[in-house]
Amino acid sequence: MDTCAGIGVMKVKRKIFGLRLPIAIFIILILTFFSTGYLLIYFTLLRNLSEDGECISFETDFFRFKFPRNWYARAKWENDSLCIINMLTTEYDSFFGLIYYKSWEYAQSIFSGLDLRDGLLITTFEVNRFYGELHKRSQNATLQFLRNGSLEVSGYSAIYTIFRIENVAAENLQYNFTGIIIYFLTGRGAVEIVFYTWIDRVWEERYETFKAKILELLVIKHGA
Amino acid sequence: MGLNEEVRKIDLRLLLHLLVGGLLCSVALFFLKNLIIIDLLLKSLNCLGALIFEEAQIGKKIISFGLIYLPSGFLGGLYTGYKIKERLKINLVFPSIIALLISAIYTTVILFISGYIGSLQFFPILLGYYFGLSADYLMGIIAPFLVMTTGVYLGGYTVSWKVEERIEEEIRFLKE
Repeated sequence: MDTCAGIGVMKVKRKIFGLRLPIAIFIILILTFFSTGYLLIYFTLLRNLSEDGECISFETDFFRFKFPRNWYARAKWENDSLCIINMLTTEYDSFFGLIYYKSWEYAQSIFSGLDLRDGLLITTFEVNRFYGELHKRSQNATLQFLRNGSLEVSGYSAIYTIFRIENVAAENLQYNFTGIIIYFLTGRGAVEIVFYTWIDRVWEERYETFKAKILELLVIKHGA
Repeated sequence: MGLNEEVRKIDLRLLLHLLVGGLLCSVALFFLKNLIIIDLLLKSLNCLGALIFEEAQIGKKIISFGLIYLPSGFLGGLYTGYKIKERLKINLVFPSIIALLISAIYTTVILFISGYIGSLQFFPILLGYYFGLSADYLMGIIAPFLVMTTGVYLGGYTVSWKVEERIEEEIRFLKE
């Protein structure tokens, strides 16, 4: 009798919620991993939400800015010379990137031979470099410079170039890129901002969001 | 002679099943990673932007352990446990090792096909792109490997669990 009772207890131990123990552990582990990961993300989000709850505030030693909470952000990349932020819009149809060169010397090494104070030269150089990359993969791609001008970003005078690259072929589809490159020198370094979309009809709308939610709220810290 | 041949046959069969188990793990890993299920989930929860922070990236990695690596290992383990009945404790280590090797070989082949074979700096990037593995050894290789191995063991023992239950029931029946 005792032996039978013992076996009965053993069997209870080997099942949880009527499931075989390994399956039960498997499901519990999935739930644990998911809830732990999600809570970590959620509390990180809560700590950095703006007052209206629509944007995320992000800050480094050199700048701070806000962006819509559902944009697909990649982790900040930083070393001794550079700090790079990049993200996609919620609809995955536009790209935003910010490169902060921590010193003029380093920026000069990147734009070798160019005068760092000539913003138009730098933005044109960057547009051509971007076009060159696309042209390598898509020989029919064509570049148009739409507009150059200046604007104020965080109290600094910046130069911008708006461009359009047409007939970029990728995975049997044709894309037309429209975008803007903004460049300005700061107290110690330089900032380059890139925003472009590869869907024609959304450019105006995305550009307005970019201007209102990111560009106008970007703050370059004093002395950076 | 006959016995030796039998042993060799068993070993070949074992090796084949371990390889198929490992292959299943890596195929599942590839597909689950490329379903971008975590990104879609975070998008629907309205918190994709939080990924700009390191802590949130760690959170995403932890979710991927649960939704990508553990199920991949579990699937490979189910097959291995179904086909192999002996020395499970030892044999179930191999499918996840084989899966990692297959991932590495696949990535090298992709580098070769795309003409990047001379520039191996793309290797960790592509490994991360296809399988979620990265040059960050603890969170990028060791932790995914351990989680996948756990999945393989859970999958492997899920199959043999039924056998143990049946034996128990048979013992009880005999006692009664």
